[in-house]
Amino acid sequence: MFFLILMLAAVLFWGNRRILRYMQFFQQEEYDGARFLAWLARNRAFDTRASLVCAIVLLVDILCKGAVSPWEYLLAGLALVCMGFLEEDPTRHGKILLKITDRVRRIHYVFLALFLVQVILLGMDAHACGRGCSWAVWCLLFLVVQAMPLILVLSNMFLMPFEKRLQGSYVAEAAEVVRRVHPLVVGITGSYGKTSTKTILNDMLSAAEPTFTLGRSINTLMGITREIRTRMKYGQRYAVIEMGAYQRGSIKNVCALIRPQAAIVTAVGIMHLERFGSQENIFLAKSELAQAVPANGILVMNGDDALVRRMAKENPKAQVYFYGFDRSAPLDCWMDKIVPTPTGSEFSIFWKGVEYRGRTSLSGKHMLSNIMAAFSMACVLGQDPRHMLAVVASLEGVENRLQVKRTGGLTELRDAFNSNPVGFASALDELSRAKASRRILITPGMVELGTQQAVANGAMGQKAASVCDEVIVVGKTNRESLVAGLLKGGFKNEHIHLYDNRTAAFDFLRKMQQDGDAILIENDLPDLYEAKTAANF
Amino acid sequence: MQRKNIAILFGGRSVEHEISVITAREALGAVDTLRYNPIPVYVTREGRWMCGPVLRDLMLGDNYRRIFARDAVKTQLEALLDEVVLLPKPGVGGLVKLGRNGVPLSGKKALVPVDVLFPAFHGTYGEDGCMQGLFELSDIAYAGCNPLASSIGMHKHLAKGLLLAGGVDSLPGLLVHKDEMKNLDALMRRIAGKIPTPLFVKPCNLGSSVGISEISIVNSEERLPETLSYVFRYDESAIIEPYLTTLRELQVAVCEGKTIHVSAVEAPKVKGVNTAAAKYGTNMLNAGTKNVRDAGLFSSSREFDPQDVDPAVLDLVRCSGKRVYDILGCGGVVRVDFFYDTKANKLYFNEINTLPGSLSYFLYERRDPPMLFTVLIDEIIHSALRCHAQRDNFNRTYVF
Repeated sequence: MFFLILMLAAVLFWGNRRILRYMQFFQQEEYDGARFLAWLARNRAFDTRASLVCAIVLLVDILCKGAVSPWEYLLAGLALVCMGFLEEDPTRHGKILLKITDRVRRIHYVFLALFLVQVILLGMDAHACGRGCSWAVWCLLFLVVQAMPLILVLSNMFLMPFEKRLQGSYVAEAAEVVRRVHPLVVGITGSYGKTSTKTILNDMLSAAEPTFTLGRSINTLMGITREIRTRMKYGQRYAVIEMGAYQRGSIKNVCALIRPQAAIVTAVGIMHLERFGSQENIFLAKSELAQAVPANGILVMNGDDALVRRMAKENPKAQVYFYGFDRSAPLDCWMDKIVPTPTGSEFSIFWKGVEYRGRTSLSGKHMLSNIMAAFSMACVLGQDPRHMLAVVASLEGVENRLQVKRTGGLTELRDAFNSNPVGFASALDELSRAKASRRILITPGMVELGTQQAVANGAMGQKAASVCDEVIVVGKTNRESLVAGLLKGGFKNEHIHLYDNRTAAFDFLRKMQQDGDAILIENDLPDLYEAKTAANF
Repeated sequence: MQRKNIAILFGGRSVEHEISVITAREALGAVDTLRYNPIPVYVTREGRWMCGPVLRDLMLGDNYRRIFARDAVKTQLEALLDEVVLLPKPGVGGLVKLGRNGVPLSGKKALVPVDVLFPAFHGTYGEDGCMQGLFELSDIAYAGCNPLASSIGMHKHLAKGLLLAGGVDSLPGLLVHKDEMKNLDALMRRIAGKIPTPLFVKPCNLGSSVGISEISIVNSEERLPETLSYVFRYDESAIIEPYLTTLRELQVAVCEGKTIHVSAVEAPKVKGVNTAAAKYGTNMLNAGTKNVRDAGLFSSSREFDPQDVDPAVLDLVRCSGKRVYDILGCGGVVRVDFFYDTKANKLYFNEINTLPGSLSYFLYERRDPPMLFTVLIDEIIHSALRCHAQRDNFNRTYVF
């Protein structure tokens, strides 16, 4: 009996440490049960450690012809305690750390309650069946252990009504803050370029007036709500809000909260295609922002993107402006005479027919497009164009968005943030322009492109073949399509290096790199896509 | 004799947070523990004051960098410490611990007795007079400059103006406010031709390690807007000065204790410390790495009482440093930075650090005769107690 209780305590100890690691990924999947379980299945992140303990003890049990001895319990208990200590603390380990929020705490407590009930039942069962069928105890323990992710999802479902109500009250509170502070709200969305555009526009507007902006890549309703509640202040004249869409209706919800008077749409692409199903759905989701702008409001739209043009046509407003490079259709803001310089590029930007000369250290053609988007909006809002171009010239790179770092003889292009076909192509162009003896690409490819994923990655592989000298492919998600693309582009097999995880790939890169190399780090994927190798369950 | 409790405050809501930790660490290691009981008090980047026995061990150990480490490590550390607060009310006699709900606790155990507050902050909220104002209100003796000297010292343009009136020369400079950028044409007209190019642009209020880079040197007025807008990301006003290649930077520390102590003169040298400096072949950009060097990281690039400078000039630097100290009414130790124009043989005041990195102890150690850091701290504390006692002597009642 004593040993049994000891073992049950060990199960609890181990379970408590393990569940936080599942929680880390549950949090990254935005507490979405279905997505979390899909991740679990895809990465086969099922438990092996505790299950191994079960299996060994069961084997011992069978060999001893079913006589449960207290020593079996002690053995299993000790093993589980050791396993418990082996579990890494997810608040300190992993690429994206677990943030212990109130919500995580609530889910954790409910989980522990459910887990405790299970463990007690297990204990009663073991006590009841005594020496009769001890193998059943170990099988049950195995099931309990394997069911942990399910119980986690279940705990969250239990809390859902409560969470919904709590979230509702937070959103209402944030809406009240927006109403009282009453800034001019500029909403930004698009399949790509929205975070860079947000950063640039924020730098421009805050150079002139106090401006509210969201932290790094916060673009969901709850993220925006939290930021508004904690950081929006009286005196902020503008608010620049980036909106991400993960499904139809999510932008509409954000708009109901912030009520944008102006909007920028950078692109309608195929990012997150797997979540939306079709590009038409993406279009409709992004259109929610344009719809939310009042009739006397402002739209600044990417004129190079046919779907964005269609969006502007379907949502007429008092002021609609187009920016872009393609002058076959009328544009309000365009760029010309783009001259690359050692530290970036110089360009002429036209606004309402007047030419202004500008400079930037940001690289990539898509970055110039983002600059036009922000510049147009700032000018519409009455800022001095020359002042805004001075801000652009003084901008340092947006972190990890095609940021150029030079250390010694080494040039690193970091485009580590969530990659997309346009950004990837632009980054490859940038790599081809870099003065280097060897051009190296390290990438796991692009994700969340649904049915287009293999095709898009293949195309990038093919393009990379004409630019790169060495290619390091990280992970298995896009390995096949990238390699196929590379080979199709005439790339030699011996210059393709395959690594299962990021750490090994970077170790290899750091060993092979030499002075004079240019390295493009394209799309550093979040933990989710490499969890199996980064974390052992 | 009972040891006096010295609260060494550091960190704070400043970009120079980490440098402040290093200064505090050095001071903590040098305090004469036979006479004083040093109590480190860490002010987080969010402005929470933390103290506790663990902090002292951590500060003196090799792992002191954990203090400003990543979130998780920090949360753990903060759980081990007590949050304290300094109440703006005379007669408390120290720091008061806060309960979990953020409300000050009561009772004897809630008090951390402090005899002298010893700020080791750099930059905003710590060196600029904000803290010193709170110290005044709490009526506890504190080391260093008073609120007025601190805030004037922080505002480079005001300091220059005041010293000019007192007969200490400085380079001509223009003050530009961020709001002027909104009417760029008017601003450019105001600036045009006032100061010969090339120009040097720097933030007006920030510690010298911030906002100065290769972009700070402007060869034509055409490039000025972008440099200004770069500076305005850090500060709301900027100073435009002429950029002379014949300038040499000379720094001296001044401290008032039982007597006035003037340190050795330092001429910062640059050896690959700053690519911009190397590129422009000058030592003027030193300003950009000053506090890092202070922290002892680039100790090889220091030169004391340089041989190639006329001793008369070095004397002038010491004498002018003392004058600056007096005019601004400083307290504790300060470091005064000058530019010496080697061609015109003229000395210009550049800026004053009312809380210099590492408290400039290395400048005293190189002096003839040398003065140890322990003695320097002793002198600073002595002057803090003396100033506090003196303020007490003022008559606070007046019958109308």
